[in-house]
Amino acid sequence: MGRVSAYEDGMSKLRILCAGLVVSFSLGGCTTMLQEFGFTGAKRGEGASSSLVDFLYPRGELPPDFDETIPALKLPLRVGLAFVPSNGRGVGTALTEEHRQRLLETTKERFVGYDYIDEIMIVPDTYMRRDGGFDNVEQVARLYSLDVMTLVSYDQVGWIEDNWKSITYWTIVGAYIFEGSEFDVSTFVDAAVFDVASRKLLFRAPGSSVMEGAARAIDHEGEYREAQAAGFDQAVAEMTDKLDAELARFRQRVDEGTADVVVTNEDGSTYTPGSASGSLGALELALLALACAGLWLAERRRRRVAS
Amino acid sequence: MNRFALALAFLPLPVAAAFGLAAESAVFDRSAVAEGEVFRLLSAHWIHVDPMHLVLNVAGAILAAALLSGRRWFEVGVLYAAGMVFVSGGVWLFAPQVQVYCGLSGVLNCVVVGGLGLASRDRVHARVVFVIALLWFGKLAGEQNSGASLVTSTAWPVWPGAHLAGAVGGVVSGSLLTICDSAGRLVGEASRRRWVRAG
Repeated sequence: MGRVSAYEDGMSKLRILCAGLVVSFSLGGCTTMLQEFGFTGAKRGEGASSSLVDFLYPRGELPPDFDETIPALKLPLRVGLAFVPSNGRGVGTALTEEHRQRLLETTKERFVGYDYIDEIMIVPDTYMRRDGGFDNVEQVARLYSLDVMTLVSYDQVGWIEDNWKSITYWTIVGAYIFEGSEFDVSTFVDAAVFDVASRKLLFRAPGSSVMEGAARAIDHEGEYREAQAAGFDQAVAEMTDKLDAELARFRQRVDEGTADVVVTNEDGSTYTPGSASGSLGALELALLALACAGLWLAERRRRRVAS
Repeated sequence: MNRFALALAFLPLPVAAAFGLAAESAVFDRSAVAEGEVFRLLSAHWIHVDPMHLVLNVAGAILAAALLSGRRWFEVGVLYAAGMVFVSGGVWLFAPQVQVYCGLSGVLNCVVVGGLGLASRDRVHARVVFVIALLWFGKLAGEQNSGASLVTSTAWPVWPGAHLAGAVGGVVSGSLLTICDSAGRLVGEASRRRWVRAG
């Protein structure tokens, strides 16, 4: 009787052990599957950036000493617009080449109507070398006959974190139903406008955005990528607004003569700050000629009627 | 063609020959005016910065002389004088950013708008005057909307406010001349009747 009892007791322990092993292996499988979804149960961050300073001074060289060269801008200007190449650090970003071009197109459209801008050329990424420096800028400027170059650098950092709802992911079904993954994406972009010939910064304008959201384990990667892309859209839109405002301020400084630039017209005449003239144009002369002709015809008709 | 207006149209040519282009001694210079050189408020309008500026404004003034055909010399004089006063006043009061100014186009805007107003007294001309005035004010509105251009055909950028100030001067002086003319006719008619009655 005692031997049977000891046998049953041993079997009982073995059953518990086996059950424990089965549960353990099952959960291990679930974890592997959840990791396939991207769920790790921990906070993780990733980002991508391009640094203007790294691009312009690639080998850590110091910017040249202050020199008194005054940028000479010949109006109307030919302006280049390009993204600073990524510095290769960081996991990656949703900013594709096509998206970059689209963003630059929206910025370009804002400045198309200005009379002092002749043309805005969007420089493809393939023309910009990582660590290309001012030499690269000058090569591109020569290629496109540019006077001024606008370099857009960016920095984007994103975080994905699981909230309390992520406990439901262990049921597998929960990964399809509950938004247990939260993410936030911070984006910063900066447009720096350089005079190519003198290599001097004329003005700059920043833009930033913060995107936050929650998603299910099954689709949080996709939603995160969308947030990354939307972050760039928002930041570039803000940058474009500020660039417009900075351009207006720069224009005002040129008018007032406080901007450290010499502006020349197409005919070679130098723009004199604070000067103004009253000059008639072709439209006024045409209107005056029309008025004279109209009055003369009316007068002639009257004389004919009178006679 | 109004002879007095034609003589005034050619005046910038001998002025340019005598003083040169963009003559510093005669242009509107805010600081110089502030120091008492008020003659610049009148002389600035007859100075031009470059040959193209001179040619365009003289051509406009000749066409304005044709527009003023049949007007009395003092009417032409009043329009030119009002133009100089209104444009200089406009630059002085409303454009503190403008330090130096010259050119006849502001005055010509006054002469044209005032001249159109005088021409409208004649019913035969009313329809033509209405159409041209509409186009002219449309041009002025477009100029104000687009603002001063940094890219210019003249060495000094054109300030559209001068044209607007001139046009306002044209409306005011044209209206005053019309009122005076009408009042003069009424007085003349009344004295003629009195004279007939007495006779």
